[in-house]
Amino acid sequence: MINIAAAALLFLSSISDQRASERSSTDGIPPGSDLLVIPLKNAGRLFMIEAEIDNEKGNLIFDTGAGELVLNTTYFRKYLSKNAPESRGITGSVGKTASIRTENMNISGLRFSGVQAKLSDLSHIENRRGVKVLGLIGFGLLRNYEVVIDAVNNELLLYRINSKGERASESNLFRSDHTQKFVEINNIVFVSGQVDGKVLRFCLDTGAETNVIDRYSPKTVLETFTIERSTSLSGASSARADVLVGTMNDFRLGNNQFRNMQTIITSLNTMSEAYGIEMDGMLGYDFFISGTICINFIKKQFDIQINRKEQR
Amino acid sequence: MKNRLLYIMCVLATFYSCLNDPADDSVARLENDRLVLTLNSNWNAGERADIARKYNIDTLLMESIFSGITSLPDSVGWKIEKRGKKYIEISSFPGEGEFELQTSDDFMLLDMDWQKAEPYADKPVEKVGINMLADDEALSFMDSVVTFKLKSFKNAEEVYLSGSFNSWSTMSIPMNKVSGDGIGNTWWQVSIPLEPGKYTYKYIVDGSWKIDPDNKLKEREEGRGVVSMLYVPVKIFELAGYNNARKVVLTGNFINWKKSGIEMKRSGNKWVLPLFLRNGTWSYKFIADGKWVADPSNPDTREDAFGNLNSFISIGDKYYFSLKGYTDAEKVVLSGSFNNWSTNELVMRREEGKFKIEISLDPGNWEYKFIVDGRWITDPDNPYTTGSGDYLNSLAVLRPSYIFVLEGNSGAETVMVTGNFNNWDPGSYRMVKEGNLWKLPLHLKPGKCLYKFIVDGKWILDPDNENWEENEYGTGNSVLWVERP
Repeated sequence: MINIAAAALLFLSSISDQRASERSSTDGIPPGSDLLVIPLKNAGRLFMIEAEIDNEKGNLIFDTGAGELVLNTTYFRKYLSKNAPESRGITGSVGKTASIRTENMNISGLRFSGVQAKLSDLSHIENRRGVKVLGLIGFGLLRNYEVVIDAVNNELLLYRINSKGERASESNLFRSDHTQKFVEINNIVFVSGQVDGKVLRFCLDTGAETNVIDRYSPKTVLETFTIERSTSLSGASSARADVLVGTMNDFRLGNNQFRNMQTIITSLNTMSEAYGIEMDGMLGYDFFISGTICINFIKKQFDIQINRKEQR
Repeated sequence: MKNRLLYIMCVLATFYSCLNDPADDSVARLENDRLVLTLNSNWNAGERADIARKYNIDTLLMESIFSGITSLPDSVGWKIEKRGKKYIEISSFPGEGEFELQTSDDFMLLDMDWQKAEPYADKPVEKVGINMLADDEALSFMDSVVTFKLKSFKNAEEVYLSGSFNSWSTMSIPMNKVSGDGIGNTWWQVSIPLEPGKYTYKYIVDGSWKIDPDNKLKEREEGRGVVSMLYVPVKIFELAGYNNARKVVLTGNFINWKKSGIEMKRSGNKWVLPLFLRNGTWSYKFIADGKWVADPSNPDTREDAFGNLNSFISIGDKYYFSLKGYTDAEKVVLSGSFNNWSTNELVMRREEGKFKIEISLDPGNWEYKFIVDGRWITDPDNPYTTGSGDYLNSLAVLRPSYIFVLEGNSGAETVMVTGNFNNWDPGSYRMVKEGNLWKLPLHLKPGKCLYKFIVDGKWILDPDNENWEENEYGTGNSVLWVERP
């Protein structure tokens, strides 16, 4: 899934800063702990986090392409109105601008009260996966922590950090193979990577089940891809887009080469416009299982420890 | 390990596709914004069709390209660039917007075959299963309750049990820290009811996934890496006596009568073996120091074709169907969706003024009728029916997992419930009026259930369920999630 909703929601993200100041002191990881480990679950190439939101139990898709918390209309429209659809007239666009405030959230030990969320109809994802999807969670609610995504061991680690971005207690488990400062727009992280020696900007998107590269990338960049077939992406309603499916053979972060990552080739013009930043691609599932990734919003720092078994 | 496997799978997949399609790598390239395909004139029909499918080219168009024509009409979207003796180069220009992710939707799903995930698809289960524990206390079974005991990770703050039995929920089964052996040992423990069967599980220790260190049975699951595996036994086989025997094994048709059998353990003055067996009828025997013995505690023995006496056991739920009255009837047959409405297979026996039959059935919603001397009738003692007119059948709900309830509508003549569980057939499941309520229990598979009620022909959402999602008619469907039993 490539989350385009995030883009539309970005413009409303000033709310998130405002919200941070409203949060109660018990919000976040349990008091007294410097680290919370959240178990991740897989549904195909998506990462899920179990959650209970105002007595509704289910899963949140961990989607760093979403700037805001997005909740599934199916379970949270009750916050909007009690109207049945017959009396309301469905246009299919419900939820795009709707915003609600939840009372209590327990996201596998990470707790919040009074968090604002956007509503969106996620029933198509649910019906396809057979998994109850309460919504999507990105970095928005996690940005006060150092976030370690260990997709190989299916763990999300949240370290408490001080105002300088330093961990409260040091842990030596993470050995960075590559570090860089990242660009952030409304809780969405963009990193620089190289293909064929050219520096390109990629969005880090755990909700993208495959990597994406812009078809308008330089010719020499696209020449490094193996093209396998064309296929269609299907959207929530009737929208379909044809894309090419291929393999990214020459992606580099510093001196580290990543091979054999499944990638779709498509135009990212509209996406770039919506995100308000020129991007050349998105790093999704194949990238996340190739290493452990550490994100620190205060230092604006991205680190990766590459899983050696994955790379040759 | 998981990564190595994924990597190997990737490599194998690539290797395999290379073997099958040596030219594939060089077929497609992007050039000046165009997708260029190099087609080989020597390809056979299958190879051409494969490329046509992969790059979404009409097969007739593909054939005409290979027939030797030099240009194509603009409308087909493909252009012949070069035509050599051995190769034909064609190209297409994906127009603006065409190869573009649109923001008109909230989300785009990548509709690709490799994405397909069926989390609730039940895997076929082995005929027979036996646990292999490094520590016998790690799992214990009492009736249908399984106790999980984890002796490691004593210093952890929180441990959860997660597995196929709770849809891998990471929060629903917390374990308790127990210190009950009187000598200061502590361990993590939880007991949960589980039906006989095969399950996979892991522990979550302070957020980290761990396999059961005391269970030797493991397997690999997509996305979960290595998981622990257990069988909840369906029966404990016991052979009393044979105190001096050195080795006693169980064998049967479930392991093709292997002489090596499955080893039994000595417990008190008997030999025991807790064993999982799939639903079905099985024959078996014990072998004590080479001597074959039928089960002395089981009266169900039958001779095989060689005159050997074997013990028999049936596993699975049995259900009784009975029909009162009709004392003058000569022959009553049970016929239903469980036996393709066979009219002669299940002849009921006359007993104490009733016609009766006992059959093994899987859990589900089964339709049936009795055939009394050739005349089809519904079950007069069963209020639940489906269909109407000649197709009015009785409904047997075996192991209901949910009861649909609609309050009010007392004046309604018929209330039906329909949903994705019956392909939205509006005429099949009729609710029964009980006081101020309309009710129907149904067996629903675990997972997401979409449904609506139909009150005298009018489709409505469940007024008592706040959870519903949009449908293509703009009228919504009620949503409920059925947990695993």
